[in-house]
Amino acid sequence: MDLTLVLQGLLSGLLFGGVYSLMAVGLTLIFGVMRVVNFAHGDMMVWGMYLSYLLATRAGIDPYLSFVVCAAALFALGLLVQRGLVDRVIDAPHEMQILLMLGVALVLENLALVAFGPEPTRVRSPLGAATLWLGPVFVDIARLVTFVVAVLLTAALSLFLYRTDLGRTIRAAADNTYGALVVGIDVRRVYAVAFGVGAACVGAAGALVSSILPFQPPTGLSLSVTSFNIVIIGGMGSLLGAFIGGLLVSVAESLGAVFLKPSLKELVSFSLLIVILLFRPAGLFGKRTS
Amino acid sequence: MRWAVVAALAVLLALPAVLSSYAVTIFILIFFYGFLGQAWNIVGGYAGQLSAGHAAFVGVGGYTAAMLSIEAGLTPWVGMFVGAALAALLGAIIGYLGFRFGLRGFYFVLLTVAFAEICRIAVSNIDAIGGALGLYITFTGDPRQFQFRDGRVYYYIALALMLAATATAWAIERQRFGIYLAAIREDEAAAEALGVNALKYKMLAMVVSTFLTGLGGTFYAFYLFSLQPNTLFGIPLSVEIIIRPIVGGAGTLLGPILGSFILTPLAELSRLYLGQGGLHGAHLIAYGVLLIGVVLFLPEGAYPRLRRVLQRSRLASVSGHPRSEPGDERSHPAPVSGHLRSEPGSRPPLQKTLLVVRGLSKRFGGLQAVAGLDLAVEHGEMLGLIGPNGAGKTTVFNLLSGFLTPDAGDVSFRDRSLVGLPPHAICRLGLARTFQLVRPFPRMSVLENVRVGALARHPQALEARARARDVVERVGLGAREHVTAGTLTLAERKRLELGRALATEPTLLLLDEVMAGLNPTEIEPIIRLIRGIHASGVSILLIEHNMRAVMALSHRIVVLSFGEKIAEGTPADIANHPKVVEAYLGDEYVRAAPA
Repeated sequence: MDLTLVLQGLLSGLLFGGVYSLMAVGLTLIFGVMRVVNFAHGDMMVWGMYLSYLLATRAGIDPYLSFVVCAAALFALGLLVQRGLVDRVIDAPHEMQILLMLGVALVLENLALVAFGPEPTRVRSPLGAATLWLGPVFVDIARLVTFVVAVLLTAALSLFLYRTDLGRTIRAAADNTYGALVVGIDVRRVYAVAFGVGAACVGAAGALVSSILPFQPPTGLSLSVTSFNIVIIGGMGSLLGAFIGGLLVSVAESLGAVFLKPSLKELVSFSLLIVILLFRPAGLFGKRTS
Repeated sequence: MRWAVVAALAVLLALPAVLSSYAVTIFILIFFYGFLGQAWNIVGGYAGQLSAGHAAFVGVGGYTAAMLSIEAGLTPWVGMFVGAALAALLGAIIGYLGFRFGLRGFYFVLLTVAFAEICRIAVSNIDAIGGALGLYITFTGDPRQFQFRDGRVYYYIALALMLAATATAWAIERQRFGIYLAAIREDEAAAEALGVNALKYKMLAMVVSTFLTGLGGTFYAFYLFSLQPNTLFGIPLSVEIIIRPIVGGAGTLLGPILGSFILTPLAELSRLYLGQGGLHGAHLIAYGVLLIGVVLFLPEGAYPRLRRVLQRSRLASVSGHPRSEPGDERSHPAPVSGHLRSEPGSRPPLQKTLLVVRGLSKRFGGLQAVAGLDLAVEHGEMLGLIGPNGAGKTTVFNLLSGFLTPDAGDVSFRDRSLVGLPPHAICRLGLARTFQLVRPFPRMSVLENVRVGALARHPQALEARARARDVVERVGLGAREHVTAGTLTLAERKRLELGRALATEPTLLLLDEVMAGLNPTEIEPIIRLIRGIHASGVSILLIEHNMRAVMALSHRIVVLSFGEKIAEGTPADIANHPKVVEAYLGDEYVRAAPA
C-alpha cells in the first residue's frame, strides 16, 4: 500500500468531512430540539444542490456565493414542513413521525426526479479545476473552500445557539420542553425555527458540494442514510458529536475506498454504525440514557 | 363475514378467466405486494417492531433460489424454502442483535436499514453472484423450474402466497402468540411483568415474518427473471413493502391486503400514464402524499376505519337485536369452580418463609438507593413496606421483580433465588407486581388487558379469556370489560392494574401504591378488594402511603429510610417508633413531642 495514497485519502476525506459535519449538525439539531428524525434530510440537501445548479446555469451565480440563497430557501422549506406537517404529529408515537417524514422524503425526491430527470448533474465552478500541491499530496481547492465554509458555518451555528437569546431559547426547549413552556417560551415557534435552521444547514451543504459531488435525485436517500450514520455514531442530539462524527465517517469512507475498493466504502460506515448501535447506542459524544 | 370471505375468494379464483393479460399482471402485483406486506405485518404491525430493511430478506431468498437453480440445478420449488430459511436466519441474527441490545424506534429502523444496505453493497461486489449487474435467469417455460408460459399460473401462485401469509397471521392473531405481540407493542415492560417473554416472542415474529418474505424472493426472481442488487436489496423496495400495510392498517389482518388493493393499481396506473410522459417519479410522489395523508388523517390505517363504518351500517340495519359477538362466553356461563384457590375464611397453612431477602443493595451513581436490606414475607402474610418519598421502596420492588439487578444480596422466593432472572420468569414463578404509575395497554379493552395476565397460566386463548372475565368481575370492572383501557378513570386503571397482576395467579403479589391518587370513597372498596385477594390465599407485599390503609391491612410493617430498614414490627409498634416518627416528620418533632 502506497503511503501517499493513504495520506491523500486521509486529506480528501477530512476536507469532504466538513460537508458531512454541516449536514449532520442540521439533523442533530432538529432531533435534539423536537425528537423528530428528519428522514427527508438528504432530499432537502439535494434540493439545495439543484437550487445552486439553477442559480449557476440560469443566473450565473457561483455555488460558493449562492449557498447563502440556498440556505435561506431551505430555511423556508424547513419552516413550512415543520409548521404544516411535523407540528401535527409532535406528540404522536415515533413510528408515526418516521412514516410522515418518509412521506415527505418520497415527495421531495420524486419532485426532483420529475423536475430535473434522472441523469447525474454537477455544477461547474471556476474553483473546480484548481489544485494545490503540498509535497506529495494535492489539495483540491474546491474541497478546501467547501471545508472552510462548512466549518465556519458550523461555528456560526454554535455561536448562534450559545450566544444569542433565540439560540438559548432553542437549547432550553431542547433540554426540557415542559420547563420551557412553563417559563413562557413559545415552543412552537422555537420548533419551527430549529427545523428551519436544520434544513438551512443542508441547503448550504448542498450548494457547497454541488461542484464536487455529481448528484441525481436518489442521491438524497444515501445522504439521509449517511446523516443518520453520523448522528448515531456521534450521539443523537450532540452538536459536537455530529461535527466530529462527520469528519470521522468521511475519513473512514475515504480510507475504505483506498484500502478496499470505492464501491465498498459505505460498508465501512455501516459496519461502524452497527458496532456503535450495539455497544454504545448513545454514540461517542451522546449522554447515556436508557 | 365468513360468506363475504368465501365470496371474495370465489371471485378471485374465477377472475383470470375474464381478465386481460395486463389486468392479470396487475392482480399478480397486488397479491405479491399484499403477501410481502402481510409478512412484514407480523413483525412490523402485530409486534410493532418497525423493520425498514425487509427488502434484504426478499433479496436473500431470491438470490439463494436463483443461484441454486443456476449453479446446482436445484428446482426453485425446493430452493425457495432454502432461501426462506436463510432469510429467516438473517432475520434471527438482526432481530437478536436489535432486541437483545434493546434498540427501539428509530434505532431499530436504522439497524435494519444498515443490514439491508450492507447486504446490497456486499452482493453488488461479489462477482460470483453477478455483482452489480445482477443475475439473469433463462426462460425455459418449464414448470419444474418455476417458469410458466401462462401468466395466470403466476396469478394463482401469488394468490396462494398471499392467502398463506394471511392464514398465518390469522392463526397468530387468535393465539397466545398474537395476544402477546400486541401486549409487547403496547407496553413491553408491562407485558414482561405479566409473564411475557418479550425477547422470545419478538424473535419468533421476526423469524416467521422473514421466512415468508424470503419465500417471496423466489417468486420475484422467477417472475421477473432478473435480480439486481439495487432493486432487490434497496431501500425503495423496503418502502414498497412497508407502505401497503401502513396505509391499509398495520397490525390488522386485512390491512395489508386492502393497502395493496389501493396502492398497487395506483402505482401501476401512474407508472403507465405518467411514466410514459417522462414523469418517472410521479407514482412515488403519490405514495409520499398518501403516506403523509394517512399519518395525519388516518393514523390507524384504512381497514380499521372501513370496519367501523361497516359495523355501524350493520348495527343500524339490525338495531333492536343486539347480538353477542362470536366466542362471547357470556352466552354459556363461565365455570365458577376455577377461582383462584379460593378457600374463603380458611387461614393458609403456615409453611416455610415464602420470600427471603438478604443484604439487598442497589446503587445508582452516587445514590445508594437500597442498602443491605433484609426482609422476609411468610406464607399468607400481608407485609407493609413504608417510608418517606425517595426511601427506595419502588427500587426494592424493581429488584424483587427482576426489572433491576441487585449490586449485592440475594432474593429467595419459594427456596429459589430470583437474582438474574428476567421479569417474565419471576412472574411465572408466582411473584407478580403492579406499577405505581399504572401501565395499562391503552388500546386494548379491559378484558384483553387482563387476558394477557391470564395467559401466563392458561395458554389457550379461550380459557384465558374465561379466567380473565372472572378476574375482571372480581376487581369490579365487570360492567367496563369491553371499554378501551386508555379511557378509564384513574381509580379504574388502578383496579385494572391489580386485576392484570391477579390474573397471573400469583403466590405473592407486590402492590405499589394502588391507592395513591384516589379519594376516600374510592379507597374503601380497594381495601376490601385487597382483603378479599389475601383471604383467597395470596400473600401480599404492599407499598402504601395511606397510613390508615397500611395500618388496617398489614400484619407486619417494614420501614425504609434512605435505602435502609430502620424499623420492623406490628402496626402498633411502628406507629409509636421514634425512628419512624423522626424519618417522617424530622427529629425536631420527636424532641418537641411529649415523652
